[in-house]
Order: sequence, then structure tokens, then C-alpha cells
Amino acid sequence: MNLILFLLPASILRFWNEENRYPLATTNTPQSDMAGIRGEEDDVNEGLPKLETTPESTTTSTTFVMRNEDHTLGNALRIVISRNPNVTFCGYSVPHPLESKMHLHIQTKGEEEDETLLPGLKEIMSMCDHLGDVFDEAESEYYISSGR
Amino acid sequence: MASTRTPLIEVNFLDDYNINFVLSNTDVSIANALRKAIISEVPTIAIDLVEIEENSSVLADEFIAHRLGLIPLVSTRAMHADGPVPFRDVEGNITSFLWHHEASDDKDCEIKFELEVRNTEDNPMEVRLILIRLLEVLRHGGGVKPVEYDPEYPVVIAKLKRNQAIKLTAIAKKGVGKMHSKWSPASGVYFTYEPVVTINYERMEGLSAQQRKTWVEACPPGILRFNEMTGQVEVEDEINNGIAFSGECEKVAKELFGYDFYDLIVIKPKSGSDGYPDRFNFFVETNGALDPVTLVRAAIWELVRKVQNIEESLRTGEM
Repeated sequence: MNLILFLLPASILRFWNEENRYPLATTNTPQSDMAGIRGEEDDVNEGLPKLETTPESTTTSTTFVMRNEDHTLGNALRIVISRNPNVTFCGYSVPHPLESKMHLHIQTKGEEEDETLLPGLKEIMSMCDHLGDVFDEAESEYYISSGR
Repeated sequence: MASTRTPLIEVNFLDDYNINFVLSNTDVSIANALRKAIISEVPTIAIDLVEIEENSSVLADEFIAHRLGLIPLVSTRAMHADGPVPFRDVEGNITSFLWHHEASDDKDCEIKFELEVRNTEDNPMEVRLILIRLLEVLRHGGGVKPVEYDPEYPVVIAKLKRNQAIKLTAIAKKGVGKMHSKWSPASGVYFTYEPVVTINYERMEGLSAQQRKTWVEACPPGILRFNEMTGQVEVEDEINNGIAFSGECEKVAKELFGYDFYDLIVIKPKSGSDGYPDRFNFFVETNGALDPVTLVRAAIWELVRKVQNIEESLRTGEM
């Protein structure tokens, strides 16, 4: 069966691959996710899943495909996930500048890959939340010290 | 997971259009993500559709429409209802300004402006921003209007000669910098590293006091000073971040004294304990659509929202 699968084009493989741990997620790219050259009605990624894995992914070597994402999140995720001791490799790429997609590839020593992406996301989230609080404090500090 | 570093911020300067703060104890990728979010992910309101009824000016219709689109409009109305600075109408209720494609009613997502100017005098006339009239007030108001800069130097859209006229209706919508730069609320955002200046005093021995003085004078100001008393070159206490990494000091040393003196001075970014820079001096200037504090808060929130979207997909995908 696997041999036959190899001969099929990748687009069909995506649907047929039973190994795919993240089949078409039920949340599609949110409507307010306005990236793309010209958001609104002609957002090409509308209706497609926000997060997917490629058919070649295994439990220890996964490539996540994120739609409507770019270097903003990609680089930050890459750095944060690389700090995880269980991660042997982490890299991201934007396959084509005209296509709003980002690939994030993670290889682990043996732990499940969703143990690496989720903590990475949570860390960025907590960093940003903290950033918001610290910024508010710094702003009041400035007003106090400048005598307003 | 390695120890999570908690970022720190100190605000150095703040006024109506500018903010200068130092972001520290975090990675350069986060600083860059913040910079990109400020430029291209914070929603604003700008004119997006122009219906021209009459145009006898020397400028083409699309020329004028393009200029109208670039006018910054006060956009606190576009702040997200769940975000850090939600918009409250006169009754204090939080309302959102919707994206054009997700609103069912025009009043929730469009703001109409009207411009009608006719030059009846002999002198050439300037069509200024003040002449744009807010035609239809949104259901919940919003104070959306062109940003008022210095009244002595008004912004000019076009100039009309005698008997020339412009009559048009413009519709403003919500958008982000990624879609078109007219929606970008930032006019200049950048961050610099903090420099560490090391002078090679051994190499300095090969220069006379006069040569050292010549070098310090040839270097851009704000990095070095020449001490007349000791005849030595010293590093300034307050280093000018903007010019420090330009490589000018090293270049001038090579030009004046020869290639051997390339290591007379070494300027590197200050690194944290892991060997990577962790202090970033941010300069954010807005065009008036949002005030700098709201802009930075909204940018941080947009980053959080991006991460939340992916987290949600990750969770539902596992079902």
C-alpha cells in the first residue's frame, strides 16, 4: 500500500496518509486573519486549515504548515523551540514569498512532537503577556519620573 | 525547557508621536516580531474607495484617490474589542469596528467622507485636509478624522486654479499594514543593540598624542573623546547608539594610519549570558493614527492573538 502511495502526487497523499497526526483541523483560518496581499474576499487561504502537518511527518520528525503566517512568528518560534533540550533540530522557512505559508520543522530525540510545539507557543504567549504588563508599568514609571 | 526569561522595559522618552524604550532580557527574534507587528499587523482605518463625481483639477482621478488613501486617519476606533485598548462609545459600551468582509451592515465597517471644493477666485487655491467633511457618522461614533498636525503647515491634497473643482465621496475601511502601507500606523520603527566599545591600547601606543586627537576628531561624535590631560582616547559615557555600529571609527583608523590599525577599536553588541544580544533600544514614531503607547500595546496583543490562533488549531486538530 505504501509503495502505491509513493507514486501518487503529494496533493492526494495529504488526504490518504493515515500517518498524519494532524488531519485537516476543524478550525479554519480565522476570517480576521487578514494576511495576504489583499485580504478580504480574495484571501486564498480562507477555508483551509490554519495548521497542518506534511504527509512525510513522523512522531519524531514533523513539519508543520501554518497558513497566513510569516517570519514574524516563525523566527520567534524557532528560537524558543530550539531551547527545548528534547529538540535536536528546529528550523522554519517561507517556501515562496508570494504564498502566505510557513513551514516549521522540528526533530526530537524521541518525545512526541506536540510536546515541543505547544510549550513553545505557550512560552511566547507568556512572554508577550508579561511584555504587556511590563510596558504598562514602564509607562506609568515614565510619567511619574517626568513629573506629569 | 531552558529558563524562561521575563522581558523588561524601561521607557526613556514619550510624547504624542514618539516613544523610545529599552527592551531587555529577551531574544532578538521577539524584538523583531514586535517591530514587524507594529509596522504591519496593527489595524487602522484609511480611505479605501473613492467615488469621484467631478474632477477638473490637473491631477488624475486615481492620483487624487491614491493621495486620499495615504492620509492618516485617527484610528482608535479600529481597536479590537478584546484587545488592550477597546473603543468605548459615548455610553461607555465597547463596540468593534468590523472588517469590511465580515460586516453585514455598512455602518459597522465603513466611514464616509465627502470633499467638495470649487475655486471661484482668481488665485490658485490649495485643497487642504480640513476641507474633508465627515459625511456619515458611524452608528457608534468614533472620532475618525484626518490627523491634525501643525495648523501652520496644513497638508495639501491638490491645488486648484480658477474654476477648477473637485467633488468626491470617500469610504474608509479597516486594514493592516500588510495589505497596503497606507494602513501602517508607524512612520519609523527601529531598534538598535547596545554597543560595547573596546579600545586596543597596545595598538594605541603606536600613535602619538596628535595622531590620537586627529582620529577622535575624524570619528563620528558620540563614541570617543580625547583627554588632553592624559593624552589618551576614552570612550564616552553616553554612547550614541545610532552611529556606533556604522563601522566609521574602524574605517577612519584604517584610512589615517594604515591597515595594521584595523583593530584599534572594536565595537560589538553587548551580549547576555548566552552570547546573544539581549538589550534593544526601540524607537517608535507614529503618523498620528494611533498614539505610541496604544500602538505598542496593540502590537503586543496582535502577537498574542497570532499565537492563540495556532494554539487553537493545535488543540482542535488533536480531537
